[in-house]
Amino acid sequence: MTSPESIPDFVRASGSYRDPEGFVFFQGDRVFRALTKDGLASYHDFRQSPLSQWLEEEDWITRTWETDSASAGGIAAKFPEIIGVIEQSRIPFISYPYEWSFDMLKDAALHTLDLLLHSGQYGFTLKDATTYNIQFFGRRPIFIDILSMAKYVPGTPWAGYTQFCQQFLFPLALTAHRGVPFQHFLRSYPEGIPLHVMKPLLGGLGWRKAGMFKHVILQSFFQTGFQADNPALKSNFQTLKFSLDHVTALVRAMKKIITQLSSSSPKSHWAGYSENRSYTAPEVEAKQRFVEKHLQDIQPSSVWDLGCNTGEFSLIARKYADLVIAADADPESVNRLYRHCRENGISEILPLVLDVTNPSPGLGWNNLERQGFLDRGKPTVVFMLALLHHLCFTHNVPFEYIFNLLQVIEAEYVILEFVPKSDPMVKKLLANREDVYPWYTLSAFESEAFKHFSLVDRHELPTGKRVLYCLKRRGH
Amino acid sequence: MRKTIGAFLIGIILVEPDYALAYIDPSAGGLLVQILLGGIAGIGVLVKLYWGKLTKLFRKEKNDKP
Repeated sequence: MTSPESIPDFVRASGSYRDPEGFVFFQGDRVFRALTKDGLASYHDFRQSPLSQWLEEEDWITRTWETDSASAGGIAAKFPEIIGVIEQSRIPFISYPYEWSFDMLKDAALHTLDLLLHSGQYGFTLKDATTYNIQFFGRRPIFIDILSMAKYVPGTPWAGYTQFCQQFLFPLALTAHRGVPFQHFLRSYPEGIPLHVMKPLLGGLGWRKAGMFKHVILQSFFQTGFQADNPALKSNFQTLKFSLDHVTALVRAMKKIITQLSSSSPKSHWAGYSENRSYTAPEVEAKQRFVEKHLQDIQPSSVWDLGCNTGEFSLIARKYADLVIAADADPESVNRLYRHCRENGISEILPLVLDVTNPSPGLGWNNLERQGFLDRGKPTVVFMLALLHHLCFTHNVPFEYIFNLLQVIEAEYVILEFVPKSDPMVKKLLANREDVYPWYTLSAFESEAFKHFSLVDRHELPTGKRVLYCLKRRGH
Repeated sequence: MRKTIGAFLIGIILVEPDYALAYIDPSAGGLLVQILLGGIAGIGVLVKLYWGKLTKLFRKEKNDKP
């Protein structure tokens, strides 16, 4: 009897347990789906339809292929219900909806709806409508859950309707209509914003906005009104002769609502930062040259640009690395960068809403369903440009903690900017508060840095205030 | 059609219960929205469901009397 321990590198995806037709597992860098009899039949149905070829060619879904029975053997021996294994192309970096900007979630929503509309033409539908079935690969969303594609059964509703509302429509509407960033809500509610939470958040007049009366007020009313009776409703869809036409009409109406939503968050302080910052044009150029020179030397496979703002340096990094994670806590800055990448066909940058002082933790069952940000990859290079002083003065983070984080990240190289207290930006940060940071000195910074990293290069910017470092982790 | 739906919606909003945490399948509300959007026949199904609730309410009150 083969056990998973004896199957080389077998790791079952901890978040893959809901679908009875199969589950995802990894072996090294490769991603597989183990399928039950029903799962395999459903997969064959889908593969035999011209729909699957079209969706793959257009990069709407990840590519999948059946693997030979030998590699499936070990799995089938341990899991008797599994009779087939398919492999699927790997996404370079998994991201979650609570890390996406407004237009990323909106594009993911539209992709899900377009997939439903297109599949409907071939008699197929999606069994669910979760944000976790979408990933960002290249510059646009891609659907990764092939098992969600199923033949539509006449007399059944749009199965993912409520899930779509809670995971896509409600968070987008919250930002569009109320100016509240949705990211923290989706982190707290991994299944999406529940109806009973969305309804009060919508506010007194929110029901007047397109689709809100129907999808929030009415749905909530029905939900609460029938909770005690819990009537069997399924048969009504047969009585009503519900068909793909009905589902398509609902999906089209939803698409119209989503299309109209736009981010209305208050004007971001950070999104205009690169225009308002304190240094001069020659300084900016010197900084760009420094970054570019070292990227040329290092030839990184991946770069994490922490505190990326609108991504000025990520846009340089993408010339040298296949994957650039551009992370910033400000959703509006990240959204700007996403739109820039989308409009200019830039596929190497994955912009994410992420606060360095509070990165996404492990979430869901056992805290393992959704991995914490820091567990999802190891970059070759980390940028911390114009970030250090914000961490130290706004968040009171000591130098020691910053280098500890860089150790945890296991970055081979760090390109970092030291901003002295004499800098106008730091003066602004300290304008209304006591300077309790006697430890914030260049020499203290260097002594902490060189405990863990060796110096590759050090460059004082023309005005002689800010200092750029390229550091290499010791032992590498 | 629009007027029928409008009148029906106003009717049910007037008798909306207070919120209480829903223990049932969270998509029940979603199924009912879809039934309603199924057209006149869908409204018929909903009226039937609400009629059942209403009569049950009266039956309960009768039984409550000593």
